[in-house]
Amino acid sequence: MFTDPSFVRRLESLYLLARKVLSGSLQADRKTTRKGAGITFADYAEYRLGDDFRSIDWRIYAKFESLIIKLFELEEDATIYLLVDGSRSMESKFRYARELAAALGYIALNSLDRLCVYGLADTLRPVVEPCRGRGKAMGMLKALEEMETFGGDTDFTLCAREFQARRKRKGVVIVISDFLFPGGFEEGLKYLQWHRHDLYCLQVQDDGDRRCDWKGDATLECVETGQTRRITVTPAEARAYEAAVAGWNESLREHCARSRIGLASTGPEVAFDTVIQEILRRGGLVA
Amino acid sequence: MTFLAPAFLWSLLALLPLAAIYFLKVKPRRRTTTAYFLWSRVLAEKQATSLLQRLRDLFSLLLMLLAFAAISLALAKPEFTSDERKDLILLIDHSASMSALEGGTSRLDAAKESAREIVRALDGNQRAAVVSIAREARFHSHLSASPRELLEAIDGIEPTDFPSNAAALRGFSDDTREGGDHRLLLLSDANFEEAASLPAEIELIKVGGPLGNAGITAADLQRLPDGSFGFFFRIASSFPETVEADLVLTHEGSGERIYKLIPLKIVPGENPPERFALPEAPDGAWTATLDLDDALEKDNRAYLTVPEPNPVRVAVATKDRFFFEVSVLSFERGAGILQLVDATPEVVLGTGSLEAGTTAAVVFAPSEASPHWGTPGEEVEVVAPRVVLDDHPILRHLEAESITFAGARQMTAPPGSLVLVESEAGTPLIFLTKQEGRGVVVVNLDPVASEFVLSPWFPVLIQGAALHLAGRGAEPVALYRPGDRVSVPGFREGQSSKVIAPDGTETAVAGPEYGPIEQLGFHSMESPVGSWRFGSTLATAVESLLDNSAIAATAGPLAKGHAPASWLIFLALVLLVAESVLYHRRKVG
Repeated sequence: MFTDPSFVRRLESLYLLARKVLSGSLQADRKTTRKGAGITFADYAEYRLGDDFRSIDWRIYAKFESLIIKLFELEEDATIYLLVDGSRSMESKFRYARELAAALGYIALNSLDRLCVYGLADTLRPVVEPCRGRGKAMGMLKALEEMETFGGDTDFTLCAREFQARRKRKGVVIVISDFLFPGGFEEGLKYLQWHRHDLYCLQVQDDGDRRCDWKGDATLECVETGQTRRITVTPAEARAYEAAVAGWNESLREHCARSRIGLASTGPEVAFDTVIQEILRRGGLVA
Repeated sequence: MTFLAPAFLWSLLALLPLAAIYFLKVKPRRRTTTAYFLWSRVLAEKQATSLLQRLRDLFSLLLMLLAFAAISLALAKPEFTSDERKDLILLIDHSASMSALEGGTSRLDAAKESAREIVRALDGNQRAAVVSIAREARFHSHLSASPRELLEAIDGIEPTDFPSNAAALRGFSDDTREGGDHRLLLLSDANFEEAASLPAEIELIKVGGPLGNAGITAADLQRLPDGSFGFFFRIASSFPETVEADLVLTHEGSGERIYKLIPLKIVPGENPPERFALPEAPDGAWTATLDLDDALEKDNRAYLTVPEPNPVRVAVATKDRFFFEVSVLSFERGAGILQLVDATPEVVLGTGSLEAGTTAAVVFAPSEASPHWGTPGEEVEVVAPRVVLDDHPILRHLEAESITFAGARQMTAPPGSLVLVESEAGTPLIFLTKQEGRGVVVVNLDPVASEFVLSPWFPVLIQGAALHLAGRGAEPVALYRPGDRVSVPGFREGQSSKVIAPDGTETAVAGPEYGPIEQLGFHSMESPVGSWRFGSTLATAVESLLDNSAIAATAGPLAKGHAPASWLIFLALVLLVAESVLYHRRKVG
């Protein structure tokens, strides 16, 4: 399935597009927003104790007698962490989420970045151990193909803590999930951001999440916990639910905007490669 | 309360399984959700109605039980009146008085609405017929159980200008008395003769109450011997007090000019007749209008005509002229039907023989031989004269059987003659003959010997014969009433006339009469002989006296309005809709 030649060809096309858009080379293939010791000028900054003397712009010092250093875009050998929501709430869009993860992982490995994939639910479960290089792409695809939903009630905060405990190295963390976490998403995202990860949220929801197209008496069952309750849904209640979901998604959008976290919302009705292309055309995984 | 179909009450037993079904626990469908925590938030806001939700099934069952009980009762056809549920014949009075307005609605409209209520109350097996009654009875729908057909028939009844004719009701009551298994319901204002003594078979549903109204109940306009006009009228009032009003007399040819205005003090009931002289009044169409705002407008106007004088010129060609001249003069003065002349007569009156010429003649006691009567023979004795053509214009106003035909002689009417009266032996006594283009009325009696010249029938016979021979009949009188018939003046067999009604409707008249008159107002009549106008006026006291308080309704118990079963079905529908809106749709989605 994920290792089918046709699917791999679609991933290869996305990689070529990524190369064209991001214009990187060798191990510094991926641009970040962080400033550092690269070769591309980014900005000026006042000299502070400990800064590299080599960065001081002596011409400015000669002219203004103030120590100013030049900043360059950091081009680094980045680590890409894919946190794929593997909880049972993702059942209906799990394949789609894995396709998105496969596309991003494929581009990362072909860009010589380090890649690590985890499944998250009530706990964190490794899917692809840290790896690097094009040769690991098929293994990564195979692992995603075999990935299954698991666990009970999703606890994103706990998963974030577990992730940070396992992977201390900073990197780009891409969370692929519906973000319908009963415990909320803010704390987990803040925790990861606190540990200086570049964060990007890829929200995947389908109509079943966003809308209630049934009415009447029903036994409502939570797909993750199996919890049930008898309810009667009238048009008013259906509208209230849809408004609640919309409000939840809006709060995610506001939080990401406020915290400079990249966010893209999509659903299975849009082909995964279309979503990736759109992200790439917008300049990559930047907020 | 009674039930017409009580067997259907057994259907109430169906409520038991219905209740049983409700008490069976139905497992609701299972719905999975990915956002259970969001659902919990939404439903937490609905906690206040949780008690109502718990009682929902009970309320739902209650509503359904009530709905099904209502349907069962409707099937059993409950009745709150002791209506016998026989077939109904609805006799709806649409005479002139039914056009009276009461609170902006005519009595006829009220009667029709009442009839509709009765039709709506018909059960499925009961039938009704719709009949309009005024001058005559007319079926608009024969016995039918179809409410739609009956309602259409009721809608089709229009007001008329005819006075009520109680005789039209008698046929129905006779039929019912002879075993007709139906009820006769008369919806009327009871403003007709015999309203107080209606046959027991006719149940009166009285429409409308006493109304204040005044109307012209009689009127006449005649030319007087001095050339002026005499105007006669009579007013009747159902106002409880004396009212004042003006009677305005206008002539059609003078535009809207008021010819005479007569102030009146109208007392309740029938007022005494009044008579006025109108000097120098022109011939033609006159309108008398009672200027009063009352319940019925139709009776406030009288349409009168005075034809232009056109007398038949009559000469007397006999030695004993006195009685002949008196007879002619008696029709010359006043009405101006005949005119006594010496020269250029249209008709000659004579005795014994007939002068040469072509002038039409009336000849009494023919004695000399003539092509018009042959050669008279011996006298014959006439004991019992026999009228052959009773309705001939010459005999119309004559009692020929009472005439003593003394001096009658044996004779034979020429071929083609029209014998009007003959003896028991077949001797022609009065006959009309036309020889060589000359019309002659032969009266086979000696007017002196029989003392016929002293009889009032003598001038009548002369007038009838003269008019007929001159080709003129009785011209229209001053006033007609709706339902009257109007003779065509000077009618001849094969002659066709035309009458134009006030609304412009043209009617071809092939016979000697036009009628019955249907509309109020001036009519025009045109025939080959001439043209005339005549007016039609309600002029019926019983139609104007609109106080019907003395007449009581006699109708027995009668179901009206929508049947209780209909209301129960409506209630069931409301309950089912309420259950669906409140509970069922919520329950099944």
